[in-house]
Amino acid sequence: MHTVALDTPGEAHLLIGNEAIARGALEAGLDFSAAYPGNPSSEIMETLAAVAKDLKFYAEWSVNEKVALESAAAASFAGLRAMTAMKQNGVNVVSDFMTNLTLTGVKRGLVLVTCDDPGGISSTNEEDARLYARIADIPLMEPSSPQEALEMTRFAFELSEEIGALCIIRSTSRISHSRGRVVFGQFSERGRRPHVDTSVSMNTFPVLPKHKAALGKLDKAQEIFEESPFNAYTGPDAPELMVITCGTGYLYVQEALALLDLNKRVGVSKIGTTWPLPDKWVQERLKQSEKILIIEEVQPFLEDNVKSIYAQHVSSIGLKTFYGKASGHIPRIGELNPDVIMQALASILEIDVSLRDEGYAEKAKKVVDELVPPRELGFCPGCPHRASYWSIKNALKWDDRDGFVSGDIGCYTMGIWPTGFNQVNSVHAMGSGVGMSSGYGKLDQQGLEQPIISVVGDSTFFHAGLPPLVNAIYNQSSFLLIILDNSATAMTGFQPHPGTGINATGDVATTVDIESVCRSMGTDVTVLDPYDLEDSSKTIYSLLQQSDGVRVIIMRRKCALVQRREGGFPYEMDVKEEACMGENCGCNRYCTRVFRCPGLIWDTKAKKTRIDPVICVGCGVCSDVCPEGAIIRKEVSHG
Amino acid sequence: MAKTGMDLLKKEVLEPGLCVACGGCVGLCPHISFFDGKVICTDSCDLDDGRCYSVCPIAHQTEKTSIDKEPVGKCISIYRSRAKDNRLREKSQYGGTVSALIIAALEEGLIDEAILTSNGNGTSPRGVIAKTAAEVIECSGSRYTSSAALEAFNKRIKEGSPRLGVVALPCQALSLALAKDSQKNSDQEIPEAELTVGLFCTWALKYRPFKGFLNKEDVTESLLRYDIPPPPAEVFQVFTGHKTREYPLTEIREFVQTGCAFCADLTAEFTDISVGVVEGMPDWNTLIVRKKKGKDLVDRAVAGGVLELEELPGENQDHLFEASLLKRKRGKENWDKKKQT
Ligand SMILES: Cc1cc2nc3c(=O)[nH]c(=O)nc-3n(C[C@H](O)[C@H](O)[C@H](O)COP(=O)(O)OP(=O)(O)OC[C@H]3O[C@@H](n4cnc5c(N)ncnc54)[C@H](O)[C@@H]3O)c2cc1C
Ligand code: SF4
Ligand code: SF4
Ligand code: SF4
Ligand code: SF4
Repeated sequence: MHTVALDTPGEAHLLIGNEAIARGALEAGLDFSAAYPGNPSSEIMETLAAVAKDLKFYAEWSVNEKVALESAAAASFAGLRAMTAMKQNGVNVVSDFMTNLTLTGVKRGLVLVTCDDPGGISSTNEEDARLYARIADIPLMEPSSPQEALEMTRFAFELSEEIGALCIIRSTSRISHSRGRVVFGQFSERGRRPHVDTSVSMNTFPVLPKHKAALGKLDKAQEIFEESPFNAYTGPDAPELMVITCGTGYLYVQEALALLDLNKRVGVSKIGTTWPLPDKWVQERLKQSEKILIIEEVQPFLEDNVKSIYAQHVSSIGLKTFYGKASGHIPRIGELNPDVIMQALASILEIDVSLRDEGYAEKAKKVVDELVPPRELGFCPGCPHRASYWSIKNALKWDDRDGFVSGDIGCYTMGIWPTGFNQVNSVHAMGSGVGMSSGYGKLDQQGLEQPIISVVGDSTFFHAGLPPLVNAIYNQSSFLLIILDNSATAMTGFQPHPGTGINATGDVATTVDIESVCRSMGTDVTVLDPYDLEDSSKTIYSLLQQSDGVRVIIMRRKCALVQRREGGFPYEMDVKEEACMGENCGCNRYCTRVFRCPGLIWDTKAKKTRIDPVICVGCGVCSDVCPEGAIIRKEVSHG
Repeated sequence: MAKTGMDLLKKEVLEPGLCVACGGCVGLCPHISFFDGKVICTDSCDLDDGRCYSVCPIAHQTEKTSIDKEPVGKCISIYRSRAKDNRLREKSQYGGTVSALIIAALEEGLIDEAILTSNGNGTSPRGVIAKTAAEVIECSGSRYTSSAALEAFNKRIKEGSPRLGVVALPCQALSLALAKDSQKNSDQEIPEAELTVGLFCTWALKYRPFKGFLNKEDVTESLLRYDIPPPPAEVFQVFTGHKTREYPLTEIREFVQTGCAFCADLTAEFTDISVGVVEGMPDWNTLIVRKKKGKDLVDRAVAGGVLELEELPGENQDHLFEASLLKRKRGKENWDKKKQT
């Protein structure tokens, strides 16, 4: 059983932040959980799903974040403690429901965890989901360590119940994914019996009184936060500089102060309850110093809110100088690190810091470059997406009308790069590729002559691809929809989805068949095997020649990693050296230069292509790419 | 040194839309293909120098074609000719000379295989290999859309280089001649054709827009052959298995390959023999015998009783020379104009 399920209060374990969040929810007696995967949040649900059967609570992968929160809210309405987790983009998706839920409130503890990705390391954007707490008038807390992540999550259920509102926990990649020592607490009661109280109607009307009530709940949260142990001050009584920070900022500040030996000169106010801010507590901290530096990642959320308290009470607080994002001392984009904070401290306190050797970065890069082979972001060996994009590229080139691909979110987003032959022209939110195609596909009336392809993954199709498809069909838009069905939510770690036939806890589920769904909407559906390059290229080409309505192709092949897990690939590959044309006119390394499966390597001495037997999985596709038939496949039997 | 690879081919020929789909550059490498009647670069090859550029007749038109010299190029003799076999003539464009000569060459063992142009069977005509009389007859008749037939030549050479006969338009004959030239200073093999039979040509059509036009006209059957009867008819005829349709020639001109305006060769001067129409005698061909190899084949065909030869009336010959010079002049003028801009 997973560590988080151990009933061993007081014991310490090494957990990543997301596991700590899951543990916090379990300690709070979680009854119901629902989520849609998305880095860096996915491990929360994965952890919960792994122990759900044993601990007898419900866990599901939902088709999208909005449905996940709606399901969790239903559980709360029925008297259960419920939680949902998502990445920052997911909060955009739930926002419509969330801002309405504020007015109805909740019955039992309901918690939304957002794991933001400052720097957009595994996201299509950089976004600060904390602002939604203000938009939706609900409380927000930000942990600074895995231990705090556990405690805050546990507390969030109590708070939610006490004030009758949804609560948000906001983590970031570095909290969610760093491993730390976490001391377990007690499990509380679980196994509540759900019942929906039909004497109370759960709706948002009348709007104004309910909005007022929601603000009252916030006031109550603020009162509670004034005394919260998640907010703490450390440092001298009258520091030269007061740092106010939250989340990861707190960790970097501690490190920076230690490195610069500034602990006696600088005070640190660490705030865990970032909305609503503990007004009085903040006023006291402001009074302590003339200079205030506010440190946080992405938006100046804390900064603006602290300044708002300051403006309201300036006569009693006195004149202060603020440093932070507005002053340019803290960057407004990307992740923070101790260096950035040291620089800010040095400039405010007018001290010299030599951060590191002048040419250090360059020297380090040189060393690393020699040791680490260059590697671009790319599809795995044997990936069906590489094959699909190959055929899409061929078809669009053959077509020669400057056609383009409107992309979506998943591994196949990498189609914007050479690994996908730079085929994807635009990428935005989940399902947006289909929505945009629906628009492009209507522009023929105004004279657009370029053919349009929309690519969407199977999981994304269920998440947000259906409404735009309905829209396109209804409005008689015209484009070719290619569903890249690799039967997994591969990008985020192979979570099952409605097309896979299993659910979050590993049981058999009803399979929602994409093909039948599309057919039932009245579109023609062609199913292709992406590994068959010739058939795929020609079929895509011929469907591009039609210009009547939405045509659907499903390119179906399991993710290479799944195929490998399920017994492997049929071939052992080899290159006939004498047949390989290499760099000569007639080829010029077509396989390693254009097709670029990492299983193929270019032998710079022999000037021939070779198979890297460690990397090549034996899908056999490159054999059909080589113009000379030099790459040969031999069938192997898997014993 | 100037780079003479695919990038230049793209820049000078393909991107400005001057490619006439002769097929010279197709089938040599995986980067260029002939798909649905059009020559397309699917990928970039990145080499500084390449065979594709060196064999392109558009890129080298002005260097090689005898623009200011003999009206019809090198020539031993000119006749009018036709196949003896009535049935062959019926299926052919005019006198069936080309089909008869190819069959003779195969049967006499002068060549192993012939590279011809298929009728496409509802898709774009393209280069095919014929080894038997039946296969040759299957290809009889002229499709006026570009077929990139040299793709089949290139592929066949790559596979094993048998002795090939090629029925070639002037641009294709030029491409084959260029390939032979470039072979001299390259370590890669570009073997030459054993026999080249040229077709006279004024222009060819772009397949895709022409096909689109026929689709609009609801012509969906196999397109067996096209013809343009002599002036003043000004019509374009399309023969399918079932019936003949006629369209005003002005409507069809819109689909002519842009690159044909720069072509300065009417009679396919770089061949062993060239064959065309005899104006006013739709059952006959004009036959230009250019080289010894061509003369041998014609002699054998006549001796074997498959080909009839007659003297070409002087008036027809004058007319041919006139037309040929006109095309040379037009091609040269267009090049000069292009160079100025
Ligand atoms: C595009 C084109 C334009 C032409 N323009 C003229 C012209 O302006 N004046 C003139 O006198 N003659 C022209 N011809 C030649 C003429 O149509 C006859 O092909 C020629 O006279 C031989 O007649 P035949 O009866 O011997 O042909 P057949 O015995 O019927 O043989 C015809 C041969 O043409 C080949 N062929 C068919 N279509 C094509 C194609 N698209 N590309 C290359 N080869 C093809 C076939 O492989 C076949 O072997 C043109 C031909 C083509 C294909
Ligand atoms: S595509 Fe084939 S011939 Fe070309 S380099 Fe690769 S293995 Fe060699
Ligand atoms: S067979 Fe070829 S394409 Fe498939 S994994 Fe191996 S190298 Fe890559
Ligand atoms: S004219 Fe011939 S050689 Fe030139 S680009 Fe076109 S097909 Fe290739
Ligand atoms: S006119 Fe010249 S370039 Fe055009 S098809 Fe005829 S021979 Fe080729």
